[in-house]
Amino acid sequence: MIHNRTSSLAPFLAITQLHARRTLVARVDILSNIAFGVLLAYGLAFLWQALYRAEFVPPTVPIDRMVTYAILGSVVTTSLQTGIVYYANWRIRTGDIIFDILRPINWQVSLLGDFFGTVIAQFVAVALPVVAISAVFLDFRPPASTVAALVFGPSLILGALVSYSIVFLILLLAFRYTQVGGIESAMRGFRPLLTGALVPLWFLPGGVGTAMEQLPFPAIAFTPLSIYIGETEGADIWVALARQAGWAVVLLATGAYFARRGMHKLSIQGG
Amino acid sequence: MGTYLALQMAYLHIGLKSALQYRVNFVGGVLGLLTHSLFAALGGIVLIDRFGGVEGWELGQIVFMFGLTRIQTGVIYSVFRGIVGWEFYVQEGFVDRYLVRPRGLLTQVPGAEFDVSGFGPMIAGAGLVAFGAAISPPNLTWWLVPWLAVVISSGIVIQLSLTMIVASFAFYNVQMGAATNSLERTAWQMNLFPASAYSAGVQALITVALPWAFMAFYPAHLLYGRDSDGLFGSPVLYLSPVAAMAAFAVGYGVWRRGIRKYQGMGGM
Repeated sequence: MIHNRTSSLAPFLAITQLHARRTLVARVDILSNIAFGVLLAYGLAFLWQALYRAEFVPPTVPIDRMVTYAILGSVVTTSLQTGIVYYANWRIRTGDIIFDILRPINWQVSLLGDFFGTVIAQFVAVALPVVAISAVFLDFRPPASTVAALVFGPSLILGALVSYSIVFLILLLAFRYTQVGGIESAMRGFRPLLTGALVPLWFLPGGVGTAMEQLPFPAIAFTPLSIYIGETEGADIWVALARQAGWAVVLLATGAYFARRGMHKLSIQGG
Repeated sequence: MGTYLALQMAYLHIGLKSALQYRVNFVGGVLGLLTHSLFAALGGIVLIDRFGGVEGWELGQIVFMFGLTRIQTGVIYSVFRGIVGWEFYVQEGFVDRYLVRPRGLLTQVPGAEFDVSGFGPMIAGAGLVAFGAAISPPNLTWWLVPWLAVVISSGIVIQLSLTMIVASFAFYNVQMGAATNSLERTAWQMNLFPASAYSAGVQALITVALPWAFMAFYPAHLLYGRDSDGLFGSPVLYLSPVAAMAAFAVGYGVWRRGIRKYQGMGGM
């Protein structure tokens, strides 16, 4: 059973560090990302101001908080976007996946290290500079309260975990269909909307927002962002965190189950 | 020219046959990018519908403009997929293989790396254009169709040029995937709304440095009989082809410089 390897912390941290360094070494890539991130932050800030000026709907959230939400939504989406599906899919197609699963670490945990390394590097090297520049030139606000400031980080981490779990489930389809780039591309279109990063759920019409809240996607961006700007507060914060943690556990367990089945399929291909 | 077209058609034929070998992947790839475009549009539609419009532009007009940019993106994804994913070709050493052949990179890559999934945004874009035109019909004039053809071609060249500029950095840095993704995401999010919604600085940027506003926003003024509501007045409304040529001149220059500097994966 080559897939049932140990998932100890040390190799996980080593892989995380390796991928963080690998991301950080591409300086032109990072600088370009910052430039596009700042442009997008400016665009979104002025877009929301234009929408608020239209005054077709009484704004339920003050414009400065909405601008903060939009900028954070943009940088969180950028940070969480990795090429892990395309890369791992390529390795499944070419058979190089065998080298990954032979390693003395569970494949799902190993990919999580890859994902987290890239995400942390992108967050530190791209998201934080974009936020810092936005804080100087745009109406970007600090966290709504001390609790919001303290809980925002853990909520982001849980959001990243949910994001990875969904990405991993998509990747597992590659064992069956060989090529899942199209599904990942579709997800890149869904993601800003479904996660609430582009449009907060409270702006969605009627029951759509309520229905979407029942899905795992808002746990990725909407939950941490609404905590940051103070739209989720008091006891609701802990309910939101529990929901994020619940989705992470359920999706990771589902991924682990289907990964085991996928490995059996892979053995059949190899044999 | 004849040889060039024959080469492209031969490559295209091989690419299509290869893609059709795996029909689930073929359909999945097309559907994936089709739904990407539709969901991207849906985000904008939800917002615009909620707020009733942006800076005097109606929902249908905005959807029409976004549809045009998705058609242009679809062509880039299918015909110029190799340029979009250039980082991968550099990292895997495929570029070296192309360089030893007796044809230029831009002659070989479009056909050789043709990707059918680009039909997804093209279909979605055509649907969005039709939907936008149905709820906000453009002025029906004799030059509507030729002008649309000019606009779509100009937008393709603009987006190709920007992609070439970002992708060519892979010649020096090997890794440019995140920046290429960012370029694509920033482009579609900025194109989702009229440029006049943005500040003067951002409008200047997306007119001069990253000329996305020429892909649909400026030329759509003429289709809807609107006076210029952007920063640069009426002359820019006609300048999409000129912007495309200027962008390509810069893009091609940067690309050529990258090729000259490239030393092969073995030597890096």
